[in-house]
Amino acid sequence: MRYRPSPDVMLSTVNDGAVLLHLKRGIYFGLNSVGADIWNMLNTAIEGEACVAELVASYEIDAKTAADDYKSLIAELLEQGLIEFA
Amino acid sequence: MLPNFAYEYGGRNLRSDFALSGLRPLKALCAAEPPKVIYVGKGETPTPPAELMSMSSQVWTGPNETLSVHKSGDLYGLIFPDLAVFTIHPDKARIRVYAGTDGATLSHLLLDQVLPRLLAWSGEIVIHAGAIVSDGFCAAFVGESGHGKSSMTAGFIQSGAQLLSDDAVHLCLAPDGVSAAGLYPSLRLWPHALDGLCVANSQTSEMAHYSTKRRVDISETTAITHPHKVNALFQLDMGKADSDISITPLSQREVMMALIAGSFRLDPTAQPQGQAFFKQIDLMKNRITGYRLCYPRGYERLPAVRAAIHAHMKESFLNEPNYAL
Repeated sequence: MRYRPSPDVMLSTVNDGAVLLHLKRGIYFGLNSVGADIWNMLNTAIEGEACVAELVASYEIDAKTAADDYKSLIAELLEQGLIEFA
Repeated sequence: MLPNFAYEYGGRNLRSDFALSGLRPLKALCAAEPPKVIYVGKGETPTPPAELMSMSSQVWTGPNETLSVHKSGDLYGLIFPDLAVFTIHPDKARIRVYAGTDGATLSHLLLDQVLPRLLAWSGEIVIHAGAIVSDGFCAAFVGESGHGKSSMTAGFIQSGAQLLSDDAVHLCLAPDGVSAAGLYPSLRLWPHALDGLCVANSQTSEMAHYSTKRRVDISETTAITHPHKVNALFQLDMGKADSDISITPLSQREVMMALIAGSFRLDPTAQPQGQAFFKQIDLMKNRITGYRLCYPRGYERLPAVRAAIHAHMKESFLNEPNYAL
């Protein structure tokens, strides 16, 4: 399954992550540093196992934790309409 | 009907064809009208346009369904169930009132709910916040309802600070920071806060018939009407009576989230307005220093909280130039 950020979302990068605003839904969402990295990878079509592997390498966390974080965030972003199926 | 009453609100001229409680009349009407004027009048028909009242026109609903915002074409309708309906033509800055309620309640809804959203629609950043100036520094207090914004603000006023606002603060980007101004000098407190803060002897009036909150009269020397640089934004986190006082920095993300969460919006789904709003908040994130203020519940502890804030501000902003714009 491939995902991409919704074109209706504005992003602000901050020093501890990012903040998103969905212009049509009027909802906002904060991403911590891990979440912001996942967002950036989605923007460059890195997702799924490749994204999880990047998180494991960058944050020195185990693969299960990284995979769980990834799945959880993707589900929430999808539910809020902040990302969509590519 | 021509507007009979003229007031200042949020740096604009407010013209109304009925009297509004809580606002000071303009001292002199200028022959040359300032460019930004808001007009308020009674509805021309007994009821608002039917298309605005339908569920299909609903844009959003506030907490506890005390307010719902509807849209039909360029016209917005703000429905306060069993109290009043306001229509807003934002491009023309015209508000019509359809109400069966009393004057104080009508003024409260207009000044504290409707007008901030009109200003927000026109590109201003207006946040739910109390704001004061004390010993030369300006602090704004944000937080969820019930976390003490008004009490914190009132406590500072009682100890000699000047008031920008207890609830709605207009933020503007400034060259080296962000400036704050109250939309109008308001202070509204629950009866227990009036007693707990020793404000009970102040002149007060009814805020709205459905609430026991009282509107406290503010002297002209206590209120500041010009913008002031914001030194710190405090996100209030009221704990238990025996909680400690702590002041810890907010991250940029937390500052942004606090500003967005606290902002008045008329229509969060309007895209040009949403873009402009987010760009301004994005620029403010680096210019506002934010803190989380954890503090104990109880009016008797507020002097110690104020002392902690004073000490923190002196230490953090001793060498920073303050200014009033």
